[in-house]
Amino acid sequence: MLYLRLLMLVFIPGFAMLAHAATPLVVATSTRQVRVTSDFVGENVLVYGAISGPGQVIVVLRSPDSTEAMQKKSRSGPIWLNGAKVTVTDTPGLWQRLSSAPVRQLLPEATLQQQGLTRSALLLQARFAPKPQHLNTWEHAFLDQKTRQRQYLVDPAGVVIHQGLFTASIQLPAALPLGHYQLTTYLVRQQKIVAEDKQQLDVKQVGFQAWIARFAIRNSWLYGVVLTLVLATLGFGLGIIMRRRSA
Amino acid sequence: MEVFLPIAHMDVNIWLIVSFGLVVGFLSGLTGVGGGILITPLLIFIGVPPLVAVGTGAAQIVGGSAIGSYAHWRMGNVDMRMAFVLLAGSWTGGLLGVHLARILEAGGHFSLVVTFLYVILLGFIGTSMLIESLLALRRPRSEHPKKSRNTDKSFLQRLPGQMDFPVSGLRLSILTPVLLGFGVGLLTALMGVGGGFVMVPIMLYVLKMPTKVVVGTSLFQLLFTTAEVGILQAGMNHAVDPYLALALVLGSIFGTQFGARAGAHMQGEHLRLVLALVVVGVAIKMGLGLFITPTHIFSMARVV
Repeated sequence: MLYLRLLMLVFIPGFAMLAHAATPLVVATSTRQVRVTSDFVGENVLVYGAISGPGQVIVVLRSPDSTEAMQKKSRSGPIWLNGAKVTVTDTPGLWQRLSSAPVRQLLPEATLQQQGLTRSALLLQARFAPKPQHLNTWEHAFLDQKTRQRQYLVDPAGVVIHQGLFTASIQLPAALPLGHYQLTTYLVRQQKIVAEDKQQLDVKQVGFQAWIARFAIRNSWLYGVVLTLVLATLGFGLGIIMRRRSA
Repeated sequence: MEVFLPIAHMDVNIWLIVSFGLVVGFLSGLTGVGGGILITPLLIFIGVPPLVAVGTGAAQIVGGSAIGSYAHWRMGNVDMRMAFVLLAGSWTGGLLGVHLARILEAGGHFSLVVTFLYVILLGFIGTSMLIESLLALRRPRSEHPKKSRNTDKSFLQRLPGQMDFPVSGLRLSILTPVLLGFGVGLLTALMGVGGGFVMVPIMLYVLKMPTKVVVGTSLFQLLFTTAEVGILQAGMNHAVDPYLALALVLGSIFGTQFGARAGAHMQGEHLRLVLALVVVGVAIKMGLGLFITPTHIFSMARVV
């Protein structure tokens, strides 16, 4: 075992140097799979790697698309009422962009839009149904809300580069969409993307929590019956025990 | 202990929920007034989506009322015929109410309707309890004014579908309890309450059932009404959160026991005053939400 470790110590820097020479960007993550259990309150995912030569790094994490609903409050007399629901589809449920410098200093606006590197670029495919009157206001409110919930996040100092190595710490919130996330890392030099790396991050529910959530949604009627029986039994059983003890 | 709620889709400290059950159970054990009307507003205050708060609120009453119903049934305090007639009404009302909740939620109006219903109902109950307990405190030993018991008897006796209820010693139209049940079922579905606060006075003063039978029968019927509504809310609206419901049941059962024991050593009027103040306070807090200018005009809503 020790022998193996020593062997690795000798060889890995060698491999790293080879990789260094061959590809300008090498990326790894602290985990490939985020396991959501019932006590999941968010998780840190570390993205790290090496770049060859000078440059800046942008890391973008994008979850599968999700469906959201929005409402606008309006005043009627002294009372604030909720207006009709507007459903928003074809936008990522979670989107985070970390970079080593503000992206507008790194790339021209056209490239940012084209690569979907800004929050407003996420609105290009978004669909609002039924289409509200002032779409522009709704779109901005949507980005605002998602940002406030920390589901859309921009951090222009989130990537730290030191001697050809970079690290970025992605903080995943507790409420997050499930599925295959796309993690894209860009190496930027002189207003151009010179290298790009794509990785996948799986976010899935595991254990009893996952089973309950699936059961409650897919077999909602059976779930309702079972839960009601469990609650009745629990109430009945505890009641009997407490009566015995007090008697 | 932070737990992610799969249906409410949020993080919550589960001990906070247990303590809600404890406090509300304690109050209801102290005063004998059901605590269901306070659970749903508390859940809404901490950010549970209103439909989930209402669905879970109804489901947790099943756990809280199971043992009491059984005890009353064993003691023969349940007028079974009356209970089934009431259930015919309340199951229909519950079914209709859950459908209505679904339609309102899809249109985005459910939270407003719930807020309105709670402000009106809690305001009414709280104020009347407040007045009653203040009056009782002022003249502690005075007799309650006797109500005339014959005002609407002739009207009720003229309705069609007369039926005998031997356990209650009554003969009345089947329509009255069916309608009463219907209203209570609707309230259970739209507000997540058991409806005892509506049912008990009507049974006492309108149907004129004997007091002993009223408590047992209303408890028995609300167990099965909340069970029906709980199943419908879970099946149709995905609105019953398992962890919330379990934590509330655990808390409220212990709370009720402590409350009942503590209540034996305390004065009834003072306790009712405390509960009345709590209820009025919750009504005011909910009502204010309608008038305060929101910090954000846009908000995210639940996708049905």
